[in-house]
Amino acid sequence: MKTVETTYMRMVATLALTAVLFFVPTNADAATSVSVPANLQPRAKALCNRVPNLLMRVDNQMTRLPAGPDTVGSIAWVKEKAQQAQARNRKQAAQELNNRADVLTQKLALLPNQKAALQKVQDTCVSLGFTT
Amino acid sequence: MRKFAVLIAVIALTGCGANTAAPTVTTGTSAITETTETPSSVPAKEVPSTTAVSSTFSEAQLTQLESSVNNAQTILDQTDQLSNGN
Repeated sequence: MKTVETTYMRMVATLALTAVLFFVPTNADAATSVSVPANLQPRAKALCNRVPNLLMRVDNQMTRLPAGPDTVGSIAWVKEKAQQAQARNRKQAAQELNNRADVLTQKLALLPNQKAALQKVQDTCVSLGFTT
Repeated sequence: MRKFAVLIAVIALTGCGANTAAPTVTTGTSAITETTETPSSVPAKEVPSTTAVSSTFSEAQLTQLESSVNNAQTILDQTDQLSNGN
């Protein structure tokens, strides 16, 4: 009788532990590896080599464009040039510079997304083994 | 021993069905209370398998990355031209 009870308890315990182990999440993502076919490696390497420089340029532009009028190339600097042209009665030049400031403002708004996209590419490059 | 085995069984079985209560969201300070329930008719989203241990980088993926980088470079070039006064 005791043997039957012990066997029953062992079965219940085994089933319970099996259920627990079945539902424990596994972290299989960490073991994922991606390989680049040989014919694509030169392209991938060339692409990855471009990314650091582009990221640096994004940072430079994100710093320069919103800076004050004393910073050459900033939006405020272009607007000041437009005011100077207006003061000299060069209306067309002033209009062009104001348009340029507007387009630069739009470009500035695009830069964070471009930076994120480039960082994503850089992450991919690192995962592919093309460290940048 | 028997109590232990039953306890493990209860924990295992109740743990599997946990977190099934519908969330209740109270918006702002108003008295409106929205109860969101997942309709039973809506099929559950298929969860991608995470068991793959290796994969091959495809040309389509590479082309997509190149497109992304080219697009960023075009915007940077245009911005440089505009802010340099060219």
